[in-house]
Amino acid sequence: MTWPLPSLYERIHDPVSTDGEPLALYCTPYNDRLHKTLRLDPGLEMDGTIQAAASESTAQIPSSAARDLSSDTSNAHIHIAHHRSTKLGIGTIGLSRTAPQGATVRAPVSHYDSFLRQAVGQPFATAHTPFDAGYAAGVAAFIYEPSHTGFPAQIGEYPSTGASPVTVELDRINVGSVFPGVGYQAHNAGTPPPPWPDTQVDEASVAATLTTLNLCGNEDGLFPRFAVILTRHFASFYSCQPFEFIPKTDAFDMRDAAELLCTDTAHRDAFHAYTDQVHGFITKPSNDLLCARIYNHYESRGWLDMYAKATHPIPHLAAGAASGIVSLLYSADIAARPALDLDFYTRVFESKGSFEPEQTASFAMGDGFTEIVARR
Amino acid sequence: MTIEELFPGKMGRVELTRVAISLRLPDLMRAKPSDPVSPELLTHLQDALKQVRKE
Repeated sequence: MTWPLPSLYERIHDPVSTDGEPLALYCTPYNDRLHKTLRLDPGLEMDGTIQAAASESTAQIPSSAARDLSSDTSNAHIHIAHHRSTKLGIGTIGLSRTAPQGATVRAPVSHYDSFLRQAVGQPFATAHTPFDAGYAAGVAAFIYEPSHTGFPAQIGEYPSTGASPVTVELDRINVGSVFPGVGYQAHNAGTPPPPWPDTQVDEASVAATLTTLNLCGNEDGLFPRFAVILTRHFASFYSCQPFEFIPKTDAFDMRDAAELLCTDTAHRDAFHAYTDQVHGFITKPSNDLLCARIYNHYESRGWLDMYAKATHPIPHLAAGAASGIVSLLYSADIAARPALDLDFYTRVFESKGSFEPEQTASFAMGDGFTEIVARR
Repeated sequence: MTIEELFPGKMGRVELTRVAISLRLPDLMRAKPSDPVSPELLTHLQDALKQVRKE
């Protein structure tokens, strides 16, 4: 598909943000692990939260492009939404038959099902429906509903259970936002530009290398890179899910357990692929300690946008990723290019030399940055 | 069988946590590794362990 989006093209290659929102590259194993964790207890009703988060994030995606192009017709919005979803690596989705009163949306490739089935190697016991439903609802909201609050969705068919392609039934019902606070706002301002002082890392070279990565999607709008499928998601979509999940476990005295699992999810992610939140780290690695200082800490910014100033640490992804990375460097012989499988992960994780993360500063709690210290 | 035997090592601790959340059993998080598991609870935990590994 060709569609003239010059400013959009430039923004999509911005390593930090697009449409004023931070983006992060998420990989298949992280998505798989996170959603398995969030859905451990169906009574917590996290499917609805995931769907709502997907809907609200998706509706934000093409809005800036529409403003840039002065496009205000439904047909133009359909083209923009299609272009945007494939550029983000979410896949293609059939939007041509949508209408203001609702739609049956059909996607040849289901985002979570197709990606995550590769990770687990078999069909799921239960369908991974929330993202697809929320995504379709968000796209429809962008096209027909400027308030971004309509179109709750229900899954029609879903390939997890054998049917293909996925279809989503949309009905126009105004349900309002389910999230508190100001919602998803542009929040990438205030980050001091690199280079940052007091670091042993050649950040200029790291940034230069990252910007040369070819992250154009394939014909299905997917990013197969680093032996996984990457998705360029709004960080807010992912960061808000643990935010909503952890408090729900308070009612059962399980907050510590929930936080442990959210951190573990990111720790495992480090052993597969690493998100581009590394852009912004100041690191002081040694063989027994890593100090990671994150100025552009999107988990914290996401928290501040959705809620108030935090009273507790929240860097689950950053903490898990930092300890995972330094474990790879100093507890595992990553230079020998071992197979990044479960046996390797178990061996490193169980070793006495593995690293444990501790938060020593929190942007969400009022500090100027988030700092993670991982030590043996 | 003990908690440690059912959920060995750090990986086991993570799996125990997943099982505890799925069953809403906060007491499981406070159990000592050497605590015995009753036959009735053992069946319950083993079933939950299979489930959290499968989902």
